[in-house]
Parts: sequence; structure tokens; C-alpha cells
Amino acid sequence: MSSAHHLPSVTLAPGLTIGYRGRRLRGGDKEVQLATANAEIRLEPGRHLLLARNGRGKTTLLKTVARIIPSLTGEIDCDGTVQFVDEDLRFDDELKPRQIFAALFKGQKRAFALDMAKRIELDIEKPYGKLSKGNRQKVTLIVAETRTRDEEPHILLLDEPFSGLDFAARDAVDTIWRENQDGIVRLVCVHPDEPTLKADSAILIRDGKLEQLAVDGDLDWMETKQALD
Amino acid sequence: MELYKLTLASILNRKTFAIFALLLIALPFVLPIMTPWETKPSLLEPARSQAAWGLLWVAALGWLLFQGATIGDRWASNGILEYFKTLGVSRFRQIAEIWASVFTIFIGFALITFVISTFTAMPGDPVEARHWMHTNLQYLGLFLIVTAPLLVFAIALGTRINGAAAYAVSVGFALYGLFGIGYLEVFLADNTNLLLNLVYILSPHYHLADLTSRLVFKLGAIPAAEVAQIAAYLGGIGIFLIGLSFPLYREGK
Repeated sequence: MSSAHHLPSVTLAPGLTIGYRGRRLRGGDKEVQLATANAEIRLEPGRHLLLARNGRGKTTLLKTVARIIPSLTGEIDCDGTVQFVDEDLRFDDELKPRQIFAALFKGQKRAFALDMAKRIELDIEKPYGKLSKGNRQKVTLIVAETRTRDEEPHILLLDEPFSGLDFAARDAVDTIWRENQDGIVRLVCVHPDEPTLKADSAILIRDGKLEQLAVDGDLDWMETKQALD
Repeated sequence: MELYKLTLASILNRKTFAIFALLLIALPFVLPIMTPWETKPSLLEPARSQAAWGLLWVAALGWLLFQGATIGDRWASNGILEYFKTLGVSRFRQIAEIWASVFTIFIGFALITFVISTFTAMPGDPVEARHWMHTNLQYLGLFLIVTAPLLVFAIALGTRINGAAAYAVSVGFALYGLFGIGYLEVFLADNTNLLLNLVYILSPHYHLADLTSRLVFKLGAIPAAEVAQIAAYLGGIGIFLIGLSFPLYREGK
């Protein structure tokens, strides 16, 4: 388990608006506003779920926090090493997971990656291109998780990390996350229909607003669904 | 250096480099003996050098630029570059790491050619041998000054457009600089069109880096001042090309 020197955090300032700025058309900006935070949202170490219906700006929020795209207005402050793990992140089809881990990590980190692969039942000798969607997702999760195994504060932005994973693999990942939760902010974008996940808070995007809900243990699926509807 | 290692692992795993390496080693010895060399055996060694350098240009156009364009395309399309961006790896460092991984192998190709051309075709006369060595060294230097920025350009273009299109553009640019300008020069001999002359002046004269005929006809090494001028000119084009590559480079598609 990592013990960070200082704790990571993510702060979304009041007034933050996420969305897209299109190309300049006939002298003006084509701007698509997706959601605005009316109050400050602060994420401390722990697990935070990001919930919204399709097309409401879940991935846009993650990309904005990761500074891949700029916010339309307002500030985001990230204290820690940010990793944005896109659902569509793909490694070279010809590489085996073992080779990917060897290229990215060495020493104890590589050992951790190989151990995690074993725990979540990933065949590290099969070329990446021949792995199922779920198994490719496992490679991504291992890479993201392994990178947090140091003394630095980390912010993990995970876009639909469980898509394609079976129940056993989800449980195994959940256990590994719980074993390794000090000094890490995990903002996990999940589909509202995902099975209940334990979380410290939930960020909802509804009616063009970004809101943070405190969660006491499990998130109530029915309540959340009704809130999003 | 994670992107460097990931890219290098990808190239090594695909093994196309091995085919080119084998061809670069074998063909300089095979191709010359497929000619009627018995009529003049003394031409065999210069022909070996000619084949070696000719094949290296083929590897540059057929392997190096293709790798750059397709890797740029693949990493940008698959989210790898965006992932490294979020980790704080700047675009300068991303390009440098991808470039270094492809060029690491290509330097090996260039050394194979240099060794074959220098040591298996060296003239017996000591003065000629010294010139032979110098010419090969000059050739190697100028060749690398041309190919290194072209690779940066192919990578950057690959991140922006389709890999095949990026390869076609970068190869087209290199071929124009190597051969196209020669045709333009012939055309301009009887033409005083100002625009065409301007195009000729502004074109990348990559053919200056091709010293094959100097080796084949044993013209000796280029005087130091002249080779420095050529290197400065080609280096200037290289800097321009690298400068052009950075705005073209995109982490995501």
C-alpha cells in the first residue's frame, strides 16, 4: 500500500462549465455547454463515482480535469499526478501484456503488475489484439493501478473501467483498489446501470448541472436512477 | 522513456526491421554479381558500395518513414499519446521518444551500410583508401542529417492524418528532394520563369546528400568547407521541417 507524502485532491471551482468549443464559423465560436458546477466540488482520497446519462458530459468532464480539453469557464485544481484512462485506450495489437508491462515498468512495479494480472486472471502471453474487450480492459486497469504504486499522490480518472469485465474480475479489482486506496483519488465514470459500487461520493450530471452527493457506503441504485431521470 | 520503450517493443515485435536488415546485409553482395561483372572485375567493389547505399535509401523511404507515419497514426488513434499527455509528458518529449525508438534501429541499418561500403569495397591504394573512408563518413553524416528530420515530419503527420496518407506525403517530399528537383533543373535550363526558379531555390535539395556517384567514380572526399556548407544547408531544411512538425503534431484524433 502506498503512503503518500501529501494527499491528492481535485477541486472544481464554482462556476466551472464543461463543454466544447467548435471551430470558428463565420466569425463566431460554436460553443456546446454540457454542465456547470454551481458549488465547489472537492474530491479527497477515495473513490468517487461519476454518474450521468449518455451524452451528458461524463467523458468531457474527465478530459477537462485531465487538461486534454479546456473548460469553457472556471478553474480546476489538481494536486497530484493525473492519469486519464480512456475507455478506448488501446495498446499495440501485436504486443503481449507481459511485453507492455515490461516496457512501462521495472522492478517492484513490474512485479505488482504481473501479480495483479494473475489475480484478475489475465493471460499475459496472449497478444493484445487477440484479447477480448474485458481482458484488454484488464491490461489498462493494471497499467493505471501499477503507476500509483509509489510515494506520490495520484489522481486516477477512469472512464467506464468495468465495461466488459465479469463479476469475478470486478470483485478482484474492487479488492485491489481497497488494498491500495491511501493517497489516491479515483474518479470513476460508470454507467448508471452498473451494479452498486462502494464510493465516498458521487458526482452527478443532470439538467446541465454538476453536483456532488455524499455517499454513505453503497450508492443506492434506485435513488440514483431516479435522480438522473 | 516509457513511450520510447513501448514504441521500440512494438517495432521489435513486428519484426519488419529484420527483413530490411537481412536485405541490407545480403543484397550488396548479391546484386553486383547478378551483372556481367566478369567483363571488368574491378567494378565489382564500387558496385557493392553503390548497392549498399542505394538499399539504405530504399530502407529510409520504405521502412523509416513508414514506421514513423504508422506509429504516429496508431498511437494518436489509440489514445496512447493522450494518456501520456495526462501524465505530463510534453509533446516535445513524445515526439523525441517516438523518434528515438525508430531511429535507434535505423542507425543500425546505416551502420550496416557504412561498414559494408567502407570495409568490403575499400581500394587497395592507401591514398584512395583514405579518401574512400572520408567519403563514406561524409555520406553517413549527410544521410542522417536528411533522414532524421524527415522521420520527425512523418511521425507528426501521422498523428494528424491517416497513416497511409502521412507516409505518402513524407515519401513524396523526400523523393521530390532526391529526384524531382533534378527534373525541374533540366526543365529550367531553357526556362526563365521567375516562379519556377523560385520554387527551385526553395525546394529541399536532398540530392546533395547522395554521394553514391562520388563513391562509384572514386571522385574523392568533398573538401571540408564544402561539406560543412552542404551540412549547414541540409540542417537548415531539417530545422524548418522540425519546426513545421510541432504544430502538425496532435496527441489525439
